Amino acid sequence: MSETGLPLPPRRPLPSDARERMRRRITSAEPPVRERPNRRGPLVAAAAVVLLVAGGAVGAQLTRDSTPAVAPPPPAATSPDWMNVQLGYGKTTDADLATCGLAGIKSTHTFSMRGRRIVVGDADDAGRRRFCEITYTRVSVSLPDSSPIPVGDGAVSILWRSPSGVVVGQAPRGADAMSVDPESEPDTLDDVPRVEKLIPSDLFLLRSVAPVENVEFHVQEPPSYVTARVVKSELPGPEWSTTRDAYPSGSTAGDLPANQAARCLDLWQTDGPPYAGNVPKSFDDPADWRPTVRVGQDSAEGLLVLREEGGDTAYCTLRNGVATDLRWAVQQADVEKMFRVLGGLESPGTGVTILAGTTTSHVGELVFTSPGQAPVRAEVADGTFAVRLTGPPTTTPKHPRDFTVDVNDPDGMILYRGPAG
Amino acid sequence: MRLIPTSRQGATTLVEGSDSTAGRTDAELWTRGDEAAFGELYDRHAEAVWNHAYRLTASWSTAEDLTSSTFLTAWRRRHDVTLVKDSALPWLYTVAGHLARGEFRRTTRFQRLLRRVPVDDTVRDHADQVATSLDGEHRLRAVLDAVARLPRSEREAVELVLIGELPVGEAAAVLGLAEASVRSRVSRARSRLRGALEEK
Repeated sequence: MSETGLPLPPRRPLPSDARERMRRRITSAEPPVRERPNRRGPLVAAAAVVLLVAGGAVGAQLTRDSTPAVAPPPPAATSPDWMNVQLGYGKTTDADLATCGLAGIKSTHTFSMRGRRIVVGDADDAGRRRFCEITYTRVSVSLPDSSPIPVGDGAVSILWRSPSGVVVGQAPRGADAMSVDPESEPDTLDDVPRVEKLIPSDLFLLRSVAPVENVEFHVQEPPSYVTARVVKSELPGPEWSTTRDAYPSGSTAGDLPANQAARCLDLWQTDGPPYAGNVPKSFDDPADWRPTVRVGQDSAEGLLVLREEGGDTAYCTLRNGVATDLRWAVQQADVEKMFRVLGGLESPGTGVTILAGTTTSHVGELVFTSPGQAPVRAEVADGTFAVRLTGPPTTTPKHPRDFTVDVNDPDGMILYRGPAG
Repeated sequence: MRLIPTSRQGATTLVEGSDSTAGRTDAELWTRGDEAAFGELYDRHAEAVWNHAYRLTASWSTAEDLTSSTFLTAWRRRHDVTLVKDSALPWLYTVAGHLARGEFRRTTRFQRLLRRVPVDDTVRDHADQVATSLDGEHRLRAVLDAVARLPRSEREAVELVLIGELPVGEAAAVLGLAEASVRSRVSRARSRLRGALEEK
């Protein structure tokens, strides 16, 4: 019991290896110092950002009608810290228009931000625009007959919200700056970084997780401010678009492990937590990842393990065969440990526990047993494993050490028998 | 960014001089905002934040992730934040709390029926086995469950004062509240927690 009256554990000295491991994580996550623009007053002027265009990092000044100020470097110079990229900008390619099925329209620009590209089409004779969002596994196109939704006093209107949550709107005519009331975004520290940006043709882009955003525009002539309250729940949802799957594999089978892996990587790219010290560098390119083992494909609780050439491992959770979320782990099994449980899921009230992790090449088989239950052989492949265990429903969380594991070599000789954690 | 180990770590000898971080207050280092200064802040507070992160998550491996993320967030936002007291610890604890709650929200958003199985702790030694015995871990999880059900205003105060064991004055400063308000929130929360934990 601590002095606070709560049953808290005593504080412990920080082991030097943990201290240095965390230091390395922070170090490896952050590129050489690049100053980020600070908020200045109620409005933030269009600021210098580092852009990612067509696979290259481009330093550029994005203003209302600017073009990139610096030519893209060769593709090899792709920024390793793409998660820090707020908004990229470039001319729309014919390939993007074809992907979107908008080959017949003129396009203004393509904007890229975490995990997606947004194609902004020119206004047609009736003043209507088409928009398209391309992610790693999906293509969504705005419906041709959708109507703008006015917000505020009508000086601002929302033209589209993409399925991944990017809002495209019409700013007041002549707006030269845009900001979002920080009070409307209470969770800036722990969620996807917000993007709010004026783009050419008096349009703006807004990407945030906040359910309500108070947006403010500065208009140059006459000098004035225009505010608008954007309530996400009052905007149309997926019905604003037609969406199709477009997996890199070329197959449309949603239950294909490669497609599930791609969908999980897609979800993480577009909606995952901010780039932090514990995210493998190899997440820069989702194509580097491959599925290895899968359990619970046809159940409410499943897991797909992903591996990358460098040995990093990630876990894609499945619900009834649909990829829902991605988690990662950077530790690998070593000779001493032979296997390492790195992640798992538990479904409260069902008695289902899924454990997953990595193995060394010495391991051929892992058999897990929980008290009173039949042994279950783990799926083992490519230096990874996953096992789905069932037992009586419990109210307390399980720990890997609650299970016993037999570790056998490829010839069936036992290497270890004992707690799994 | 390079987090430069200071001479306290024995890995690198810090050259004394105008660039030295020795003897500087947290506020001075924070204002300087360079890599050496931030490295010193990391060395001063990593252990406290790591322990606090464990108390917020009941998992040493998650605590490591959370500590890394906390310092990374602090580094990125160092120009946006002015320390209200000399110590950076209240701010770092606040960031850790935000991040810990963010992970919980993310879990509920995508995995309403699933929860993470606590995995092997990254740090392994005898003390680890003793301190993270199943009973202790379950007791801590029970506390965290009860804290998570507190109103947000009380939860923030509890995380800083009861779990983080910060002085009320420092917690009040970082929360932007009067000390009396923090005391009353903690007092109310303590009663609720006592009731919740007695039910278990």
